[in-house]
Formats: sequence, C-alpha cells, structure tokens
Amino acid sequence: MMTYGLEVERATVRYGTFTAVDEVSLSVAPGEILALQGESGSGKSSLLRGIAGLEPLASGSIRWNGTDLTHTPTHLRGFVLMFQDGQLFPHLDVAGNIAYGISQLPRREREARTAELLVLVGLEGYGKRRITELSGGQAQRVALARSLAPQPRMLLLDEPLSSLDKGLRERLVGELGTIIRGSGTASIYVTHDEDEAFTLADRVGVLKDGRLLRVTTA
Amino acid sequence: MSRYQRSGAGATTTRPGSLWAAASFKPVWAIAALIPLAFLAVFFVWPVLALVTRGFYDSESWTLTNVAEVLGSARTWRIIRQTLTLAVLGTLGSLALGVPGAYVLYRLSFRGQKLLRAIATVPFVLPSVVVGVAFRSLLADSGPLGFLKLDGTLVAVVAALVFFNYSVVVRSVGVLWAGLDPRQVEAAATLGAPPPRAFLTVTLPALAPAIASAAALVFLFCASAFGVVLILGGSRTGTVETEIWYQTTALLNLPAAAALSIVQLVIVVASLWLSNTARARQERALRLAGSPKQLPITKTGIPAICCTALTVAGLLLAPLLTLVWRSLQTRTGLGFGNYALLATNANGNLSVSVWRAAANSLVTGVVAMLLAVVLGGCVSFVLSRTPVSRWGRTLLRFTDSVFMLPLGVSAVTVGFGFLITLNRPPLDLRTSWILIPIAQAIVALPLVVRTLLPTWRAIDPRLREAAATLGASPGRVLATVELPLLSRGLGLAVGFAFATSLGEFGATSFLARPDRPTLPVVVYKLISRPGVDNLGMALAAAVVLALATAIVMALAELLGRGEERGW
Repeated sequence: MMTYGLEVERATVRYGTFTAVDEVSLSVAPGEILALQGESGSGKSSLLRGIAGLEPLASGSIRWNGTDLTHTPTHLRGFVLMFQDGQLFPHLDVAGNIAYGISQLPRREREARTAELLVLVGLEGYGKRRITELSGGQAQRVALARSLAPQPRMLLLDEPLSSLDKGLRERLVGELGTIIRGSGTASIYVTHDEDEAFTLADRVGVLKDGRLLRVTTA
Repeated sequence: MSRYQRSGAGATTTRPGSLWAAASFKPVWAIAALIPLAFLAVFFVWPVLALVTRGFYDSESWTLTNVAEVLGSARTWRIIRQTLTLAVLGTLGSLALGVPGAYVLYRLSFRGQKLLRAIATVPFVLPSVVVGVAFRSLLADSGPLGFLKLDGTLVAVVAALVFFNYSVVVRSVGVLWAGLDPRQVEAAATLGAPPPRAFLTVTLPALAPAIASAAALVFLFCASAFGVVLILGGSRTGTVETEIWYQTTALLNLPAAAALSIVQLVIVVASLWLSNTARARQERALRLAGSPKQLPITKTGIPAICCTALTVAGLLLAPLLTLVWRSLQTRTGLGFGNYALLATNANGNLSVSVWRAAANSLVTGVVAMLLAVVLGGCVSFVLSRTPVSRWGRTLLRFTDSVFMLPLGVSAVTVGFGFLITLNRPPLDLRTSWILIPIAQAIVALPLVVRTLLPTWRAIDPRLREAAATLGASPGRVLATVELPLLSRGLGLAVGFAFATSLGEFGATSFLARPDRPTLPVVVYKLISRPGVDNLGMALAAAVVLALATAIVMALAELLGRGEERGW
C-alpha cells in the first residue's frame, strides 16, 4: 500500500557498536507536524540525521510517497534540516544564505522569493546584513527562512529554539508553528521540551534509548 | 509548487536501493587521494627506495659492505656526532630564546607588537642560502663581527639554525600561551607562589605540549639542514646532509652517499615520529585552550622583554642589515655597483647572468607552487573528511603520515634519489627542467598540507550538511561553502609553496643543469668563489632573493590576514 508523505520503517542508526536509533518506524503526512520529544541522548537527533541522509541506516528504510530514498544522497532528497545553532554560512550575507537553496532560479525570482521570506520571518530589509551582526533569535529566523526557501517536501527541525533564552523561546514557538503550518510542508520537530512539542505539533512521539515509545495526538 | 513536488519523477529516477546513488561521492574521494599518492610514489618513495637499495647493492649482488664501510669509518661517526650536536644545540637555543619571545610577542600586548611578530616570522621563510650568506657577511674576517673568529665554526652554524627556527617556537608556543587562562597564575599567586614559581609550576606544564611539539619540529629541521651548513660550516663543520653532497659531487662515491642517506633516513624518521606524537598532543592542548587573552606589560615581564629585544636586534636583524649594507659596498665606495653586475655572468664564472637565473627561479617556482597547491589541496580535501568505515579511517591515517614524510626526508636525499632513478626509461627526465619544480613541489607539499588542513578541519561539518540538505551536491558544497571559507589558508599555502620553491637549494643543487641554474644555486656558486666581485654579486643576489621571498610572503599574509595559529 502506498502512503503519502514520509514513511520510516524500522530505521536503525549505529555508531560503531552503539545503537543510537533502534528500529524506529513512523510516518508524517504532507502538511503534518510531528514532534519528537526525548532527553538528550535519546537518539532523536540521530534519527533526524538518518532521515536527512546524513547518517547511513544500518537497517530499515525511508520512503517518500512510496519511493525508496534509503540510499539517495542527502542533496537529492528534498528534506531540509534546520540545525540547533542555525549553521548559517559565515561568508554569505543574510540574503545569500536564504537564497542558497534556490540558486537554480532566475535572479529576479530568487530575489523576490528572498524578500518574501524575509517578510515572513519578520526581518524585512535585513538582506544585506552580515551573519555576525545578528542576534541569536534573528539568526534562527534566517535559518528558518533559508530552510523554507527551496519549498522542501520535508522540513526537519533539530531543536531550533533550544539555544535561545526562555522568554524569546516562548515568543518564537507560536510564530514558528504558524510559519511552518502556513508552508504546508511535512515537518518533524525535535525537542526535549514537552510543552513546546504539544504547542506546535499535530502528534507527539516520545523517544527513549533509541526507541519510539509512543505517539500521541496533541 | 515545490521543485521536489514538480520533479516527483526525478525522485523515482534514483532507482530504489541503487548503489551508485549512495556511492556517488566516493570515486571523487578516491581520485583525490590517488593522484597525490601516485605522484608521491613516483617522485618520492621510488627515488628514496632506490637510493636505499643502492646502499645495499653493488651492481651484482646484495651486500652490507657499503654500509659497513661507511659505518666503520671514523669520519662518518664524527659527522653523525656533529649532526646530532648541531641539532640539539639548535633546538635548545631556539627554545631558550623562543619561549620568552612567545610570551612577549603573543601573551603581552603593546604597540608595535604586530611589526615585531612580522620581523620574527621573516627568517623562517628566508632561503637557506640567503641566511648562510647573511651570517657569513656578519661573521667573516672582513665582516663587523670578524674579530670573533666564528666563521666556519659550530657556533656560527648553531646561530644560523636558531635564526631560522626562532619563529617556529615563538608561533607554536605563543598561540597556546595566549589561550591560557590568566586566572590560573593569579590563583597560584594568591596561594603564595612568587612569579618564578607560578611560571614553573603552572604556566610551563600547561605550555609543555606546544614546547615539545616545537622542539621536535625544530630538531627535525636542524638535523636535515643543508644550505646554511654548507655555506657557514666550511670544511670543519658538516652534517650528514653536506657529507652526502660532498661524497656525490666531489668524490663521485655514490655507494657511500647512498649508505649515508640511509643513516640520515634513520635520524629523520625517528625525529619525525617524535614530532608527530608531540603534534597530536599539542593539537589536543590547543583545542582545550580558550580564546586569546593578552596582558599589559608588568615588572615580571621585563627580563623576557629584554631577551626578546636583544634577540630581534642581535640575532634576527643584524645579519640581514649587514647583508644589505655590505651588498652596497663596492670597490669605489657605496653604490649599486654589485647590483649592476647581476646582469653579467661574473666574468665567465657563471653560465648565465644572475637575472637570467632569477627568471629561471620564478618560472620553476610558479610551476612548483601550482603542483604543490593542487596536490596539497587534494590531500587536505581527503584528510578533512571523516570516513565511516574502519578501512577508510586506516587509509586516512596512513595518508596523513605519508605526506608528512617529505618534511623530514632531506631535500638532498630527494635530489640524489631523482638523479639515480629518473635518468632512464621508463621515466627519463634527466634532461628535462621539469624535474626541478617536481622536486621543489615534493619539498613544499607538507607545508601546504599543514597550512590548509587545519583551516579545512575547522570548517564545521554541519555547514556542509546544511548545504547538502538545501539541495547542494558535494561539488557545489565544495565550491560555494568550503572554498570561500578556505580562502585565507589557501593564500598562505600559495605563499609558502612559492617561497619554499624560490629558495629551495638542497634538491635543486643536485638537479639544476649548468645551463639553467636557479637563483639560490647561483648565489652558492658566487659565495664559494674567491674575489671581491664574486662576493659582492653573491651579496646582491642574496638580497634580491630575500626580497622576492619577502614580497611573496607579505602578499600571502595579506591574503591570509588575521590567521594566527601554531605550527
């Protein structure tokens, strides 16, 4: 039977002899947000990296709309990963970072899309800023805009707010949820914060010692 | 509509489970590793192995006679002793002056520090013949310090070795020192330790990894020094290197030279192993060090400041200034007469004019630089990856140490090895000038890798991953993320490679054909001939060579601005 969206089946990620992710199966439909919650070391980041193709699966498979992507290189998967600390390119300005994933578009379209995304994340007019001039919250907004620019079929977010202080985090959670939902992209949101998981997601999965314990509807 | 939804068909063209998709990057990886390895095998391992074999083979059968004969002679042991003495004294001298220098130039903060650091860095990149000629101009009987009667003595050679390696210690120790937390010493002070005790019990142990690493590297450089020893040592002071040269060029005793090369190989491999162990420890220490913190000048720093001022003025500047000053002295008083003579061939002493030789140097230097940077770039690219498989990791470690080998294996050995291997089919390059840039590239290769690799490894792998998830292919990641971030290291690497090739003397002296000499070869020819004009021209040519190197390095520093790191 073909499932729409992402389907992960019995995915296992190993580092040497250590099993970080142990036969996890899950699915995410287009437009749906799945939160994965767990302590540090529970394997949630490893699972995300496995789905993105940054770690090879020791066993199991990853499919999109029924097509097997288990052995497809990262850059051909169309899954964007937003890192905990943004990982903005230091040699490019804000606009350059956002446009990185849409370099194949004609210049005019690319600039229009960049401007549109800057407005979306509330940083209108910041295009020429250097990365080093941004605050932590602004940097993560740029990282989000950069991730959304290529209109990925899957958005993977690895604790995108955890490096920010509490007040800012609470303000951004709602905003982030609205933006992701508005994009209509299937998303996996990894966090160690239960409140954050339930605020944002349609469903919440709990990971412990590399195993998916349960998935509940938020 | 997203490009992935639009290109839904594109996703299905990646056949499910197809191997090429997962393995698509590996051929590139393998090619990048194999090209430099092949180059190294043909132009380094083969000549060196052939040389070693020559020592054990007397055209008919395997024999230990050559080696036994060489090892049995008192002369050999005197030379080995002298080599080790020079290396030990050179290392101790560099440490004794370099550690205070590291404190003053990196830990303290004062106006003019940048300039002093630049002055301290210059000697390392100066060609060895320039250093030899500069010290000779200072210490020779006719020079300002001639009354000390140091010309041709061990002291003269050691001073020149310290001159060369001072910056290695200063930079390596200084970068770590600047990163130490000053509160550790403050804590020791509040516990009642006077400054000397705090230094010995807190600071020195923390600096130990950098000191050990610098010491091992300096020992390696001193033990394989050639040009300075040849020029300054005269007939009394020599090393295994100069002895190999003497046996080959003066006595044409190739078996003895080959046996001596084996001795040198043993010394070098041992110190290289030491240096590698020490370097790993230093890299760990550097990772743990904090961001640089510089302190204002206090009373406790005065001895170190005096020591450094004396070193910079007396050891670094005096020989160079004397060189320039004496190059301007002619029969008819001060002037550029010696420089005017550079357009001539010194009354037939040289086969071409000095300017012609300088042009040869530039051409070979550019070719050698391109070779070294491209190959070193490939090596650094491969070494900056972290392969998943154990096989890959083993290959990586192997590659890493193999490419450091030319750092220690003396240039003389490389040159001599080329002579006896690349002179007949399948590879007859004996008459081709390309041999010289190839040898120079081999010598420069480790420096290029040592400059590029740390910058490359410092790039957060997650930046590459972020680019990949945004749809960038590995090639595009390399072009749009890694190369722009590498530009600084690349500038320095280009400079080092070019400067090293310009000044390379050890290998070139074996390989340069009489009708196509390079500038260092010409300088050596002139300084070893008697006559006022020959000396004057040697001094002027050395100044030209020094200036060319300095300009190259200044440009490179400009390109690689802001980068400070240990060796």
